[in-house]
Amino acid sequence: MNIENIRNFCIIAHIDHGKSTLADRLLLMTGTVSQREFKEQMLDSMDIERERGITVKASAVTMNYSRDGKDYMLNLIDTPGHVDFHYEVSRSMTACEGAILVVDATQGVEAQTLANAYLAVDCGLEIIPVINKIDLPAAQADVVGEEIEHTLGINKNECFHISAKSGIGIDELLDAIVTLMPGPKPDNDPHLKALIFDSHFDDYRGVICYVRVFSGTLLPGQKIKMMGSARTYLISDLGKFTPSMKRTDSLGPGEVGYVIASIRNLSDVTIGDTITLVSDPAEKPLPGYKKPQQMVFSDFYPGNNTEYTQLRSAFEKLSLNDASFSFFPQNSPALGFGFRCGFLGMLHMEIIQERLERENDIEVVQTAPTVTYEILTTDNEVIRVDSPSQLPEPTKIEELREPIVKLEIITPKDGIGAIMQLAEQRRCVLLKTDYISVTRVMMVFRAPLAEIVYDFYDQLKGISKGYATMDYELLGFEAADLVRIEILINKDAVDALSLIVHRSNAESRGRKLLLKLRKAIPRHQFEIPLQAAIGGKIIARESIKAFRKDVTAKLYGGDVTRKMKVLKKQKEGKKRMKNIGSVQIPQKAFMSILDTSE
Amino acid sequence: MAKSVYVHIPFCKSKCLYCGFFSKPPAQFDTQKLLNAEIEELKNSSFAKPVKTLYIGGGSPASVGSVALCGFLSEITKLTGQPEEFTVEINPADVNELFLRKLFEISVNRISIGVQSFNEDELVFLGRRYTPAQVEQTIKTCKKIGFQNISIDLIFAVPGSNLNTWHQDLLRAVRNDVQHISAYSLTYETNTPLEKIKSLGKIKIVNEELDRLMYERAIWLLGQEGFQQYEISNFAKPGFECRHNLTYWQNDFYIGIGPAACGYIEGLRTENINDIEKYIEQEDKAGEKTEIMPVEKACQTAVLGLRLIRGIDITEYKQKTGFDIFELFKNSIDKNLKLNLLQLNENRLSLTQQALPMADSVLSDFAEPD
Repeated sequence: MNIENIRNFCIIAHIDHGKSTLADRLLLMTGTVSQREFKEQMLDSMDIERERGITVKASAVTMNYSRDGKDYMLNLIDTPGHVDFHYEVSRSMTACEGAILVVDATQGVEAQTLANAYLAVDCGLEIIPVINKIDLPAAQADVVGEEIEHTLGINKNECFHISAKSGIGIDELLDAIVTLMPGPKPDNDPHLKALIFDSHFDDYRGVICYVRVFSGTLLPGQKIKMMGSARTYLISDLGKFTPSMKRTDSLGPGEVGYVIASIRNLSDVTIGDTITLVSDPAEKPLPGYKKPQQMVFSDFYPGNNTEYTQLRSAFEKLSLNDASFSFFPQNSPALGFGFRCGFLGMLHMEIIQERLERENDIEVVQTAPTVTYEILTTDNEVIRVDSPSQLPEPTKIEELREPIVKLEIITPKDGIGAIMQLAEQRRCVLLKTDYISVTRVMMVFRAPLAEIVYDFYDQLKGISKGYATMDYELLGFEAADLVRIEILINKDAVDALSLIVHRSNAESRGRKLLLKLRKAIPRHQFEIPLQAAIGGKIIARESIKAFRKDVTAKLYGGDVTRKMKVLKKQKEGKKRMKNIGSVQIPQKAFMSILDTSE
Repeated sequence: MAKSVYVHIPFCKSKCLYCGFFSKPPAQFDTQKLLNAEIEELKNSSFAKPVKTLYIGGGSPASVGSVALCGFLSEITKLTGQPEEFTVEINPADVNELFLRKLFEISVNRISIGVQSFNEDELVFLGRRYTPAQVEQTIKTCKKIGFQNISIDLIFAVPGSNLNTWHQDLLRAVRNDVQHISAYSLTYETNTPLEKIKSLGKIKIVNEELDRLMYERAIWLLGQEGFQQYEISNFAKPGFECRHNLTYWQNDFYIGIGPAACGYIEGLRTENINDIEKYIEQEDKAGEKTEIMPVEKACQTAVLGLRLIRGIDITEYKQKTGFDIFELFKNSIDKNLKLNLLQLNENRLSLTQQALPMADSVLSDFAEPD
């Protein structure tokens, strides 16, 4: 295919604004899939994505399109919509020349729309703005057009008005893709350079690399080298996604497709890496490659009826399909053997947790998510810790620094007050407020990541009746007056329950946590004191009263079988609890620190 | 070989509020047919003859009529031989002197009376059909006839009761000069009217603390009066422990005859069908059998044995189950010894005094090996 007739593009949109519907509509209109094969959201293949209406792993699909007697090859590269996957999004965009920016005519510009649109601009993509769902009664295409103009500086008259669901305006959009978007820039470098923008694991064929060729041609049988990792492989198969995998003879400049090269582990392939030939390598890799950085950490321990080894193999299986999370064995005196896992962000963590339980039929106990802290020690060393228990002695800490993010929230203006209140509770500092339309506002905060790492989004949704959206971006680390709260149960410190909080919140957080624990831990044969302490100083206390009577009055011949069953259940329940000294703590107690509700 | 036989008479003229046993009104059934069926079941059972203990329970055995019952009991003892301990449960409302005399004549030597309370209000609440005076009369009659081993059941923590009413109840029981007292905290069994009333919130449940105080009062007062506590809920004058019930707690074999009766025979736990008509029709009346594996047996032996105040003899335990109790339950024993809920004295492992009111929390540690 002539490089001029290739269009590589992605669709960027906020959750539920219709990205997948539009993709499906394009597949249908270009005859890539027949009406019969047409099923909703063809591109998203994972259950969770479909349920949540988000795309986690990018896919790519090649469509053929003819206009004015010319044949075009349209490569639609799907991108994950969430900012946790910022790096993946940026790699997918690097493989494109254009982007369709979809905004829901009933919802307007959202935080993620902006974040991804800015990213597209940074990547130098030609943006085609699209207002979707114009056929809905609640559509306000004009208002939304103004929002786009105001926030992105794109003239509202340039916006395409479509309905992906009913097919309105799709012909015009397809025309625009070939007329307004540029084709791939010819690269005269004779050396092979292909960008890996995604990968997934196939049980039979190993790792499937999603590639965009920038220069040279990929052929079966070539010996290739990953420039970042310096590993070499032999190409066994290559082709395009139509959307199913279809073998082709080659992948030439500007083309998008897959490469299979008997790669066993997903972790051997790094997104953003450049493929070149072993025999005639390129001088320099394509720019932009970096290792994904994990910002959110949480411990996972085997739950009910689950063994450590089961959990390990489940993580191994998951890591086959997602190289961006990490897991290391972890041993907690309280919870036994488990894993410390690192994630790109909050959503990423939730997805992994859900997939873990759903795809493997196992139960996990998850500790409160924490962020990475930076510590300047008294020895003038800078170290990073991602768990409260790793924190050095207070006397060894010169400065404790926490990650700070730029938090953008878009909300209807009547939500401002409540959001300000929430932001204040979470130590967020308002940087600016911008009216993006008459009724909607963008608020920008400086926020400690630790404060928004869990349940902030839920709370935001709650107080804005679901209308507010948010996105965040890491700014760096900053010193803060942070303390570690230790929780003592029956005088024993429980590492898995300790948490790092700002000193100003410490007392109230400690007290709330104890109240939750008091409810979560069953009564024992003795009274159990609960204490919260900072550096040995008790800041809050509670106690769990002893139970006074627990005995079966009658146990005769006819009662044995039934009673044994009941007692056995009790013993099983006890076994599932974790023993801290002589106190048995159920798993839900460990979850109670996750929950900041009243 | 089983040396104990339990015979269940599943009839009762009225169902008490708290009763979770299998019993039906006798008027709705051909009671004689059932008694015949039970004889048949006993004929097909194997046990060591003569049996050591024979226990006739219910329901209320007398509700089938005194003539029918006595005839039945004679048939039974023809098969079992003369038991050393022969107990019949009676409800004071269902018996008279003539009947009790007949029981004595056919060599019944232990009477167990379901008194439950000497407090009129409580008897009404519980749905019992007699007065405290009737109870005392029954006890007196039994003694007059010559019964020297009389047991009564008492229930405490009945809604509306307090430490004082319970104390009075205990005193009255003691004054009647019986040999054996079972004192049970009121249990809200599932699928009983009592449970339903409780769930509706219509009664004031005795709280845990008072329940415990009442239990401790019983232990103390009965102890003062010469009754020895030998099981969690059972107290006896020296030598009057219920030998039949000891069979259960020592995890020895026994046979269960009649609908819904349970047995434990040669390593199998059996449970008969809880349907009177089907039971009568069944060719093979021996009900569902569950094989008790060695480890399970060891657990049951521990759980049951620890209900006895004297506890478990370590050596006997090993002989009986083949397991060393300290190996099977190492952590549990260590933990409970440390918490002073178990004690180890002269080769016996037993609950401590303070563990008694919360025995289940300890016993559940023995329901499965560590």
